[in-house]
Amino acid sequence: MLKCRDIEQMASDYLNQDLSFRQKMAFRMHLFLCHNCRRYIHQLKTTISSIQAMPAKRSVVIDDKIKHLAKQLKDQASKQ
Amino acid sequence: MQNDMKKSAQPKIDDDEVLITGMLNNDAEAFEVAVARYHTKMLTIARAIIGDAFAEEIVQDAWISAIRSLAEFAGRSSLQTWLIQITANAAKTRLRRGSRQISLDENWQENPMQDHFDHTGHWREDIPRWDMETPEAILANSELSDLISQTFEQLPPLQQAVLTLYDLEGQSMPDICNILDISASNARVLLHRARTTIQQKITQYQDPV
Repeated sequence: MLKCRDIEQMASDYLNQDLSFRQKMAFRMHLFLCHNCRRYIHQLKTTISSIQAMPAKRSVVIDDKIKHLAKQLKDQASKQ
Repeated sequence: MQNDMKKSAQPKIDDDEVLITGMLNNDAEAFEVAVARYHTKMLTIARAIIGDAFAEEIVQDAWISAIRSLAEFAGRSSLQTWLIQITANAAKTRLRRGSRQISLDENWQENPMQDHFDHTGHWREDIPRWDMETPEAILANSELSDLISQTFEQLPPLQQAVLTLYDLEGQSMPDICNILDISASNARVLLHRARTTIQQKITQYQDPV
């Protein structure tokens, strides 16, 4: 029987669908019985989705530093 | 990052092919968009492999190599994957030339969640409920959204690189291991540590006891 500590350590592998069939069954059995682990997994899943949604919130930034580096590269390219 | 975003203009180029053609034609906007889009990611990879001290230099070299061979870029991968591979190769070459191994993420094998369990392996305390429990609700809160960005930026280099490649770029674990020269088991632990660190920050924000 898996313990909560095992669930925490296997959590990303579970969400990445990297567990074997037996491991997945044991994992799900524990989740069925343990509300804390169910909440933990739900929160980890939400965290991953939040991280993945972050780039959509970011636009491509063209500030002075980028302009400077881009100019250096453009000059370098024109020398070739 | 957020402040920079506010003063940015939206570039019009959103396609690799247009971007590459622009760069080959020495178009200033194409270079700006390419640097804006990929430079930070290239730095993340370089830092993960060789450390902060040489990362900028490695990325500059990688850009120059990439521009030199841009005309031969066959488009078998995305431009981003190609640039990341060039950066990783440049960093690994430098690392070998220095004939040294560096340990960038010290103590990364220590589990930050260890204290959350009692001697029987069960949660010491109940997991607190989150008031904001969807990604939309979390990201709609600008303080929390900034906190996630800051935590991401402060992750140890290898954790940040694995998280970027897996969760943001959707690269496969074998490709990530190849790019960063790490074992599959280490990559999986690094990914989990990175995610857990951000999860803990969200919990602390929502339940500041």
